[in-house]
Amino acid sequence: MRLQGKRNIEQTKDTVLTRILFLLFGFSLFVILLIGRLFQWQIINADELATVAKNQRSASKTLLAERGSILTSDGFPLVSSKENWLLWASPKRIENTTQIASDLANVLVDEIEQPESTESAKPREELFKEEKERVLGILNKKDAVWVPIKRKLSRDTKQRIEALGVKGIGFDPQEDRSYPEGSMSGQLIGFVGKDEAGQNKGYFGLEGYYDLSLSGIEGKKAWEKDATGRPILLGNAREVGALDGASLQTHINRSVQFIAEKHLEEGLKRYGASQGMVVVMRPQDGAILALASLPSYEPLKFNSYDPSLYINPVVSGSYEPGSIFKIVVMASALDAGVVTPEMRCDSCSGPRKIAEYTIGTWNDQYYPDSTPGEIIQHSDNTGMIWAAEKLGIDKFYSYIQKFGFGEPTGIDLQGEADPKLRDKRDWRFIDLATTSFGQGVAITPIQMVRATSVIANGGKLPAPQVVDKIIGPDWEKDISPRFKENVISEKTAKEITEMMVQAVEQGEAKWAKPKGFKVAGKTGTAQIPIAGHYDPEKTIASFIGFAPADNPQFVMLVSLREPQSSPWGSETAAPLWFAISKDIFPYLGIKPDTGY
Amino acid sequence: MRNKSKIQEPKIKIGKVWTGLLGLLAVVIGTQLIVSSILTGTGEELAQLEGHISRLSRENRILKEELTGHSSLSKIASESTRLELAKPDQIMYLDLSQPVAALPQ
Repeated sequence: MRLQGKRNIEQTKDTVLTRILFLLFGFSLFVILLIGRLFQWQIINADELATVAKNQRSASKTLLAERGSILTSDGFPLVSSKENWLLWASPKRIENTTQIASDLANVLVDEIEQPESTESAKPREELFKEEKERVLGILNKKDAVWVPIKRKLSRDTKQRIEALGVKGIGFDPQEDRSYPEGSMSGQLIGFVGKDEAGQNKGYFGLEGYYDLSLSGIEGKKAWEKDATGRPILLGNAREVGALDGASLQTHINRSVQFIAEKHLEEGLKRYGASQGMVVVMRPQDGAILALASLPSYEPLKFNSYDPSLYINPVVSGSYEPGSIFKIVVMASALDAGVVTPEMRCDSCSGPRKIAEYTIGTWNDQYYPDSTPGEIIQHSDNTGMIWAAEKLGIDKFYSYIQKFGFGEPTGIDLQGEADPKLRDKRDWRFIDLATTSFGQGVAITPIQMVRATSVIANGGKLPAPQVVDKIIGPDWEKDISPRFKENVISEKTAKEITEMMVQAVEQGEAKWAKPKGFKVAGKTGTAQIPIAGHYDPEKTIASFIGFAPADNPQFVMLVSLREPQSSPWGSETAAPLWFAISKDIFPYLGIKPDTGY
Repeated sequence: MRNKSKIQEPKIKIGKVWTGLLGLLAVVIGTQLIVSSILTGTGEELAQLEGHISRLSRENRILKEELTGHSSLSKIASESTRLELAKPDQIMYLDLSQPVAALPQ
């Protein structure tokens, strides 16, 4: 019995020991597994899990920087920034993709821009089908976490899509440009496209020239959030604020620009011209009050236009100016003292023969013993050769250089052309003769406007300037007018001005001049050189002038390429010049004078 | 007996200390919970305020866009055409040196 009891005790001991060992083994295994798991989490997957944990409690967003506006002189935006939306999807979270693609396409189809031509426009059903296929293709990318569906959506479209209540899609704000005054001044403004890195970048015009000032710098905000997504006040937070771009306040007079654009558009239709431009500049400081050229493009849809339209012909196009250049040559001859207003031309009674060339007047009429004033009034080529002969090649060349030809004007628009003057050593007498009436020399329209400003400005050469100030968030930078040396004396400027006044009062276009205003001007009809000769059918008709002649408030150039109604500047560009000036006089505070 | 009572006294003191420490811990935890709750509420309020600022800025921007759109010269010109307004054929110039306006002769 005692033995039996002892055996039972032994058995119990064994059982307890076995259990203890079992438990020990179990706990050891558990500890080993635990250590293994911790090793996996803390050593092997440490970085990945740390990132997951960080993402779970961290939130961040990019703070958009607003691109600066381009303002007219009265502070009205010619271009401003607006917010539009990028529609994106998270395909994993989207069910019933076919139905959702159909719903989205039904809204997005209204955002598709159709070509203006009705022939190439597609019916809505076809567009809807194409759009649905496109959206479906995007939504079927089930491996993708985030895919963009459509950019540049308007606020209305965003609201329409939100009303569909689709899960798994979202919107991100984006910056875009807005043109409250329409887009006719596209070549002046330029456009905003993308650079190689996909960032916004300005091209051409003001957008291109002032890209650095206009561009802002994006910011970033990061913070820690709780399980419900609310920010933790005592958590880590970091914010680098966005820096908005500076705005440009231009000299552009909104009313003058509008009038110039409106008249130019009508003028192109009326005279059947293929291209036209109007430049209005204040001669005292070179401020560009208006600059319009057609045909142009819409900066917002620049992609759908021929890239040749991006180029502004006022600053980037060079041409032979024709008779409007005569005022520069005559002013030079008067200033050099080789010609006086009283002198008479002794070689104006018939065509001039120079080497193998015979040079006549535009209408084959000749005026012997003409004074310089009459030469300008009749736009007499033989008279201009007489004045140029008096100057000689050296002085002639020196004066046209001083008037700013052969070098860029420095206007603050991207892409200014720099047509060079031929080397003086290559000039022959025939070059002197043809250049005296504006042939055989290439200039840009803005150079011609600047040269005429010398006359309107008492002999000083201003630099054309579009922007008046650069305005930052809490700073302003004035852009001061720039002047070069005096080109001609004030006396010469007055003499040539009086000749230009008479050219308007007695010239071919006197019927179009608004009554009561003293205008100094000159017409020009330049032939277009093609493959080494001049095309007799194609001309560039121009009129350049300023008003009021005694106290000029503006210099304006109107130029029409290949007008069909008449090739002459006096019958096309001049009436257009006077029509524009008549409308802008009140806006510039120019009152009529009873003497004119 | 005297020795026994001498041994029991520290036990009571240790018990009181533990009770005090636990009480303090409870107060600290409670305070933490209250502060956390307040901060969470404030965080939510901050999020709401930021959302409000963002909405107002957006609204402000939209109003600005609408305002410029309505006051553009192209809009005014098209409206004046729609209303059949005529271009003035005579402009009266005011001169500060004269007491009344005069039409050009």
